[in-house]
Amino acid sequence: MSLSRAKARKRQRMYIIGAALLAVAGAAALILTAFEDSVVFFFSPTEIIEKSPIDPDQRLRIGGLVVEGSVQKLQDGKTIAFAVTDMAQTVPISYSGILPDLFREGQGVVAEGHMSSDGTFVASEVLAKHDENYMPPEVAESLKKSGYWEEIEAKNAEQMRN
Amino acid sequence: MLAELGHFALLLIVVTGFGQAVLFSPLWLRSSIRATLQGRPTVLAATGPNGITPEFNVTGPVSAPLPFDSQISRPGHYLVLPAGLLLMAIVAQAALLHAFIVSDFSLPIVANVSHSSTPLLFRIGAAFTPDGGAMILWLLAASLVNVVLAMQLFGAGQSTYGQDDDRTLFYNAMSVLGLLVGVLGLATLIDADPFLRVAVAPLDGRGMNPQSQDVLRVLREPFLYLGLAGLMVIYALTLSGLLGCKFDRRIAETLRFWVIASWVALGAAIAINAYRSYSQQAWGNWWYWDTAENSLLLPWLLTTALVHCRAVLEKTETLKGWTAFLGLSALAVGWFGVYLTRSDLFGPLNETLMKPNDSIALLVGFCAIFAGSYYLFWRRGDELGEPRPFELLSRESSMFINSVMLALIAAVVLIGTIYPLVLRWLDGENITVGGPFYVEVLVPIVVPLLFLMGFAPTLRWRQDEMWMIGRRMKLAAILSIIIVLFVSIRFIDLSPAPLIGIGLAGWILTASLSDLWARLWRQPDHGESKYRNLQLLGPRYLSMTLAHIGLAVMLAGGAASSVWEEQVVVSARAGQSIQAGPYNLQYEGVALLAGENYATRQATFILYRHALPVTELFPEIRYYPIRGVETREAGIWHGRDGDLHVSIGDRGDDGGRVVSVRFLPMMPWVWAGMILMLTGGTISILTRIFLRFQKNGVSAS
Repeated sequence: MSLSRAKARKRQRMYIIGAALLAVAGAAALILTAFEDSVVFFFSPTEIIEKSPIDPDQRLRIGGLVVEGSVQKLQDGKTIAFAVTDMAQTVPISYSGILPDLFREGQGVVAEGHMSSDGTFVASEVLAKHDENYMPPEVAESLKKSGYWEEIEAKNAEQMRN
Repeated sequence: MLAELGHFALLLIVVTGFGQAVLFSPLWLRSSIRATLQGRPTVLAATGPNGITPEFNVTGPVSAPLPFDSQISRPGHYLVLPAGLLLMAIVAQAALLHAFIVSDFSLPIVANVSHSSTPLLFRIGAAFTPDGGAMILWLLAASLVNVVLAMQLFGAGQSTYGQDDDRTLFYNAMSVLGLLVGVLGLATLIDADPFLRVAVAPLDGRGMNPQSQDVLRVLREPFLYLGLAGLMVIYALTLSGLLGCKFDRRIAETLRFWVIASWVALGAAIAINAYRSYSQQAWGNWWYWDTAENSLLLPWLLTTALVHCRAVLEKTETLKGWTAFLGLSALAVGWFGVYLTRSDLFGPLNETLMKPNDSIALLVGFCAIFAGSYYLFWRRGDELGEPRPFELLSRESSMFINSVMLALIAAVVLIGTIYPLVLRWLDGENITVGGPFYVEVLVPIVVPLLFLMGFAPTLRWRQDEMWMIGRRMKLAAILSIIIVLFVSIRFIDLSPAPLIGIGLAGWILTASLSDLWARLWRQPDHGESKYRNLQLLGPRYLSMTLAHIGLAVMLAGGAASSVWEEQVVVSARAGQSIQAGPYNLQYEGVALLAGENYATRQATFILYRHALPVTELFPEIRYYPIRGVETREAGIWHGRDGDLHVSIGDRGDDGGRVVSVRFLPMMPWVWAGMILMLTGGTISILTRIFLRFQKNGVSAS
């Protein structure tokens, strides 16, 4: 009796460990493949220009400052065209829909979408879930890379004072 | 002055918390100190300083309870420290709220997130949003559960599973909980002391973040921190079971209330958060997979797993190690989630590294506490006692598989949340892990989980047979196949993913209902009425069925609304009518109105359904001058067959206004499903409390 109980326990433990290992291995495989094809990379306008042409199927994010005076509505009344810059390079973006609350000319913005063949970034989403003194961290970093961070920062501080 | 009183109360919380940790601890010190405190001559039993060893269980009950068991029967002794803690926490919270209500801007915390023009309700709400205020709220919730736990453990109603060494176990749990409160209080003092003053007060504050100025957003915080406080109790009881090497029915029974209460509180916080995202136009979806949402979801997933494992533990005393692991981990991920959202880890890298005080004490406390408890778990995990065997095809194993899958989901969410962070630290690359990643990874885990969910409640304990499962699930299988066929024929070009979602929802729903049916009508009623069968089912079964049905309803709604969503974006002029689904919206124009501390451009839409007027909708763009920020509120109509979600944008050059209208079929099912799940949990708790008091009454008479 005690032998069979011990055996049953051993078997049960084997089942459990086996199932757990299988599940973990499966999940790990899933995660790795998913990281490969569904993670969205962030590029600054300079990197976009360097890498172009970019495969139109690849989803990516672009971030920078909205160029002053570049925001315009197209004929259909709902598509908005603007350009983002990291002060070194500029990329035109088109977007259909309502721009987020904190979208301003001269302010940082992050857009998600894909590059079309004519070099315009077609955004499916313009991101704005953040607080009011937001400079998207990616944008701040790309500005630092292009070397214009201090200038923009000084300008923003100036505006805050006014 | 009141703020200083609050500061003092916060200091006292730390002291009292650690005091409770020491005085309730099973160390030898307790008996002597408490004896001295109570001024009674006692015979000190010879318990060495090797307090936390297993052998203590042999000597402990003999030595420790002797001096006070006579007194503990007198009510109230065990309540002194917890009640003091609660009082202190109430004082601290009241002091903070007072500072916010009277707008005392000499406290930087008030000046940063409040303004004299902020309405009263949101001045109170603003008190919970900054780090320090949230910690005070957490402390208040923790001291509240501390008192409730003390009353539950040492109060009248004796457990059916009571054992000799109950007292040791309970003292341990109170001690651990006191330690947690002390650590949290200390972290509050070090990281984000809310009661510090500046010498020169600003004339006015910087104003509340307009995106937090919302009743739902304010309501979310108490639910979140009550849930986390519940997890602290679960952690304390689990750890105390591990310390005593006894993790059994008695603990499982004590845990019951706490597991379900935390599950309901965290679920309510998630539901509120989802509805808030949904009604904010700028976000517009109800789930975003962002850090704040994931850090709510993580503890909820593990608590869900715990709800199931705890039931197994109470019923059969199996899965001890796994349940203990879940009990520890639920608080671990909850705490870590709070740290993730508090700290600016997701901000720019160099700034994160340059701000040394950024919730660092919270992180250190987290590391210390959980390193210790996982070490203990590792050492004690094997000694929890002999598990009873069960077959692969049994209720136990299905619950185990279910909880492993839930834990896997939590692991995936955790990895997805911190992976961008790790990658950025390693090689400076910026990536985003969003919806597509989670969908791709989670669907293969969730589909079998939901399939299992259909028949797991009908499985037998210990051992079951395949053919019997088949016989029981026949009806549900046929019905859900009919549902799938109907949907796939009716909507012929439907992609497989939503079809699977709807099919699984149908499977869970029909399985739950047919099981309920079988239990009510197929059971012999032994000459009594069938109503007797309903009574015999008990609240546990009913609340479980309700929660499962709720999930099925939510799943169906989510799948349907994501597939059949219709969105129209037009540039509208006054009088123009917009068609979306079965609805017709007539745009009446925009009025400029004044809100309490904002100006709003409020659009008016008249909603028609098949040419009959239904209601008016008022989406808004609000402008908050204090912070110079605009927010947008959507207008939402929950109709019979779906939600109509309308929001407005800026005026175009052509004089029209951008209007975005979405018709989301079956979206009310999502909200109804969430409410059903929460109702299920609440019923379970309430009947429990009710029965407990009823039983007490009976035993007293």
